[in-house]
Amino acid sequence: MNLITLKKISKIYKMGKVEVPALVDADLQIQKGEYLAIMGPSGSGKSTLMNVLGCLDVPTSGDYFLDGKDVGKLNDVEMASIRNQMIGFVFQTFNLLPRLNARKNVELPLIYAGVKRQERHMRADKLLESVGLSGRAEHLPSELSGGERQRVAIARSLANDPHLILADEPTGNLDSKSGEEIMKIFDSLNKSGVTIIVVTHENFIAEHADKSIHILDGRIERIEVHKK
Amino acid sequence: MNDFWEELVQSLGNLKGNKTRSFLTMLGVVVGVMAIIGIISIGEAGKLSIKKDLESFGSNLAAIWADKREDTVYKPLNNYDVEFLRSLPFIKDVSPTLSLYREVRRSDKRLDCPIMGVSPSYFGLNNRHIEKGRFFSSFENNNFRRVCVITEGIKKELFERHGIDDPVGHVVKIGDFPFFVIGVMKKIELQSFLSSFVGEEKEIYVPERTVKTTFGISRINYILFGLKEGVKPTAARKSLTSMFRLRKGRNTYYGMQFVENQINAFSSVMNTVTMIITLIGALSLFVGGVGIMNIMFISVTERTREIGIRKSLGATQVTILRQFLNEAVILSLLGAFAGIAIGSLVTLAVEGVIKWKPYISPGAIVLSVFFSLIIGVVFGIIPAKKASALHPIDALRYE
Ligand SMILES: Nc1ncnc2c1ncn2[C@@H]1O[C@H](COP(=O)(O)OP(=O)(O)OP(=O)(O)O)[C@@H](O)[C@H]1O
Ligand SMILES: [Mg+2]
Repeated sequence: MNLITLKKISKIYKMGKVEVPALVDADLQIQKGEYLAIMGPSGSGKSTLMNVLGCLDVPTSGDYFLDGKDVGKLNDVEMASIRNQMIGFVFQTFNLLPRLNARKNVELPLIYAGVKRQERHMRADKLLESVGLSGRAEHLPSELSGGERQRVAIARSLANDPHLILADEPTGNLDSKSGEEIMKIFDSLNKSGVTIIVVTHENFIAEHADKSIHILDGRIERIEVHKK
Repeated sequence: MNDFWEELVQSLGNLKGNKTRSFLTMLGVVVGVMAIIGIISIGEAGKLSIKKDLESFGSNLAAIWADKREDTVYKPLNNYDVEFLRSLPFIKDVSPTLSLYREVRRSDKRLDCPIMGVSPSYFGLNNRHIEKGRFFSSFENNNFRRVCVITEGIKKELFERHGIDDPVGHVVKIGDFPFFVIGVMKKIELQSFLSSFVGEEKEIYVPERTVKTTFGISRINYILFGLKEGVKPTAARKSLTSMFRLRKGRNTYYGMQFVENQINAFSSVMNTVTMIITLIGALSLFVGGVGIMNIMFISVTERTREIGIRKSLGATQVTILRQFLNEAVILSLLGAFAGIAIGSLVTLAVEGVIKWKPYISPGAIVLSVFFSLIIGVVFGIIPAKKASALHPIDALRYE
């Protein structure tokens, strides 16, 4: 069964009288457990597509089914619950809360899931350990390197065992060595069955995935299958 | 999501992260609460002490006197009126009051002072107590005895200055007639500012009948009387007015004064004053609330990205709303507690300086906490709503 089905999804920004089509009639099906790269030039609509997939943005038209549910028909609480339980986000700019230490950042999705303090604490520490940051739980984001921050963000995205990881240029702000480490984490997550979608400009990042979707001017141009 | 403590700890963390701003935000509430605590406490303490003083005069005390208005004639009160009042079922006790000026002498000391002719019930009606000796009796009054009770001022002037500590048993000359001093009255003890009106009394009290026979004066200035327990001043005034019209003629007029009315009038004036001042305090709390709202709006704008991040991690609108509302309420409550603490200290200091009993109004404390809570909610809800309504992606993209 498909985890994700997009039918003629469009996103059009209205800037006064000018209409900016960021995404045009996107049809897409993604299976559970797939490892996908989204590629395309700057401004082509990659982030727009990711935000729609992650229920952070609502399309102007078209239908989006996630795990069989019509996302367009969900209310605020149901959307929040999907973001909390089904999806883990990893952003180019990490998006950690600067005043909370690494553990507290990882605990956030657990708080919204209603997990009790003690268990939250334990799970956050386990997650940090799994991304190789067991000694950094008490560090504030400003006391971590870029690669470490992104690993905290990944630990946070995994807090509620999501089916789907959405990563928008996760290595964009990192040197190649840290970037490679991040991609290794994604590889092993995918091996354990998590569906992963990564936006990237770089071919060597895209090669980690099974397929690459190429976008141009808001349209899906072609889908390329990688041979491994 | 039900983890109230976690929410509280996070809100406190956010407020602590910006201490200066949190403090400035609270300042308005602190000042408002201080005003409420101080003013209500001092107002209530003052009201209580003044009321107590008024009551010490005898709260059921009343007076009636002959008066003249444009369309009436002056017809003085006489002994029959005294007896009539005494016979009324709603009146407890009666004393006529005749006053005159005479020269008072003891050996070579002279003093011009008011002489008060009263009946023995006068002392009880006025709640007066004896310091030395005794008051005069009905027997002495009925038999025109030349005895007198003196006040503190007279005792000082005529006796103490000349080495006599106990005037009882001595003789003073009032006009041309010798009177036995049989008692010295206790001073009136007042705690409120009313004491400055009373001052030192320099009067001599003698039996009213003695005044009539000795000095040939029978004009009653006013009649003091006490109402029985539970009699309403308004009802007493009404029936006395009509009865005196019947007795003295339709074209007469008699003035009346009731202490209970005075107390009530005073209380209602004080209540109005307290209310106005409380209103001013509430107003400054309101201004403090507007301050909280402004700061919360700034805070929401500054933390737009944070709101986006939280929403991307599963925060609902309600969660975000609650987070910001919590912060507003915590700010205003912290402000209230600080205001209560500082306000109480200031109030106690002021009461100490003016030598009142230390008193902090519990009602004012409850009122300020209640007000501040409401202000936190009312002024926090608008910014909190704004925060919660942000679209996740708009909030995340905010620079
Ligand atoms: N909030 C917005 N209002 C108006 N136009 C927008 C908005 N967000 C994106 N766009 C426009 O939509 C188009 C697609 O933007 P998007 O962010 O999806 O590009 P992208 O492929 O992620 O680019 P990049 O590789 O630079 O991140 C762009 O032309 C952009 O200007
Ligand atoms: Mg992008």
